[in-house]
Amino acid sequence: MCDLTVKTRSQDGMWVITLVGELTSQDRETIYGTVPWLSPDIVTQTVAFDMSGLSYINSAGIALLIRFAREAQQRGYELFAYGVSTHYQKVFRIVGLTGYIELFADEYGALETFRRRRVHAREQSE
Amino acid sequence: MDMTDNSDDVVLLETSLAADLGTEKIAMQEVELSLRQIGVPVDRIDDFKTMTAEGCLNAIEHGYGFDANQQYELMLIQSGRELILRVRDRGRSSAGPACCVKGNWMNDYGEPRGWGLVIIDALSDSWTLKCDGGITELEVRVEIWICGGGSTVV
Repeated sequence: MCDLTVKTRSQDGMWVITLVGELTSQDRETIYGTVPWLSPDIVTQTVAFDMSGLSYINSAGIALLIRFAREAQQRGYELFAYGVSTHYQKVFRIVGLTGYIELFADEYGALETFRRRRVHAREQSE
Repeated sequence: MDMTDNSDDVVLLETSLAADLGTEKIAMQEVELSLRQIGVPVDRIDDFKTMTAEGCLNAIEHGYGFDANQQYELMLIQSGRELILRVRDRGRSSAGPACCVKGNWMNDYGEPRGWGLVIIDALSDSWTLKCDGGITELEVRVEIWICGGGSTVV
């Protein structure tokens, strides 16, 4: 039984993947089905995980995130996550995920950084 | 099930659970309840819950191959200022790989696995994984300052 619900949306050009419930190995296909690089309709290079609704992440769930982060980096995507509990922030640091996923307290922080970098990128290209 | 070393040790929790995915969450809840009752700080309770889950998952997957007809054993012991978590299974002939080498997982191409023991290694003061006579036992030790008896509900 899958105890994870996943919703996706575009927020000002940032692709947001909202995870609610429990992230374990049983959610493999659910997570992989959200990757933006599999859909030509999704034009973004930034993906943000909303983890404020996650109650449990086990090591298999961590492995899913690592695989996602690895593929995102190889494809030139930047990854954000917000709403991660203090405890799981610690676990992410232990496994090295924080080197590849930027953590924010909330969606506002992630969006502000995303917008600032987009403006900066536009200025650089002019 | 006798997993105590010292007659002064206090067994906080002793249980057996089916080797079925999801039972590690039951173990987590029972460990949390036990630790709250003796006043362990909340942040350390979270660490213990995660170590409990990973220890149980190790037994469920590597000990019994997710066979819900089998049972693994869990014990939580207070030994002075130390808390000892023991997870025991009887389903394998060797302990297997003791730890995942973190390495540079960004450049690896296989499925990233083995993080449970890496997490336990980082959150605990010490741990061992031993196999003897068909019994595999994971033991995790953490020195902890107890606030005193009573519940610590946050």
